[in-house]
Amino acid sequence: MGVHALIVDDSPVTRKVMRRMLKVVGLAVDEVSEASDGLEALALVPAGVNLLLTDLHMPNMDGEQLLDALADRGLLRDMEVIVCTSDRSGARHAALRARGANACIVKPFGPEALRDALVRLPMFAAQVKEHA
Amino acid sequence: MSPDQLADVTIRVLEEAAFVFAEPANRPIDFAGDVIAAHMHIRGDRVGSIGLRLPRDLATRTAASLLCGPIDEAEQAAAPMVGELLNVLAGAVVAAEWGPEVRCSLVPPEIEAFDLPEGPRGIHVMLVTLEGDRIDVEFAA
Repeated sequence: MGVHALIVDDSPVTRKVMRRMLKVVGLAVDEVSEASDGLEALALVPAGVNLLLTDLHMPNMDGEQLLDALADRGLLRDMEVIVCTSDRSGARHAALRARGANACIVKPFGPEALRDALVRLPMFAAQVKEHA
Repeated sequence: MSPDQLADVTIRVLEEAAFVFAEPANRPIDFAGDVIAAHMHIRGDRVGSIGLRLPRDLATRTAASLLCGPIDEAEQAAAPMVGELLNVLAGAVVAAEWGPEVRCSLVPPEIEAFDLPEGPRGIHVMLVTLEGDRIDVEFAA
């Protein structure tokens, strides 16, 4: 099964840079600028998107609220979630994983850090390694 | 946190996040042209605020290099990019000042493109890029 990623981040530059990194490793990529838009996109195509990369600190709905909303709707079952955040607190990362995130990566990150996070997700390891 | 420490953290973030190379200014310099200013509050176990000011031209050029797209796209992305740079910088400053385990929330940045906002009263650092652009950082806690 291919990897279909959705980027949720209010920064257009961050979305574009991440899109480029993900396409290099062969992923299909969509993006939205607001968490509520991401929730809508995921609810409409839950079988399509299987990787969510979300910012944490966003206006309106933040990354934690998005995780909670996804969990409430049962949408985390078939999806891996990576939270991309400037927050470096290990306790915060642990709390995000308890909320359903599979990994956290700290901004700023380069292609290698993103790839390392992806390879650690069993669902995607094989596909990401193919494009190494 | 000392001004030198704030400068070091900022220089590292600018380089890693945006490929902008800067150093502390050894003499006062003026901003050339329009300035994009961003400001954000830190809440939680510790409280503070942090501000970042870049010339609009520098922000546009930086966005252009990151986006690898047309210039009008970079012009539109310049202000949000300054906000995102500040977001990344805030995370690094919080960790440097209070340690990586402090629990803080970073309130999404306010971005003002025209007037310099009433900045926080605290540490102020002036940096200069290789091309001679001024960058200001302020941190108060």
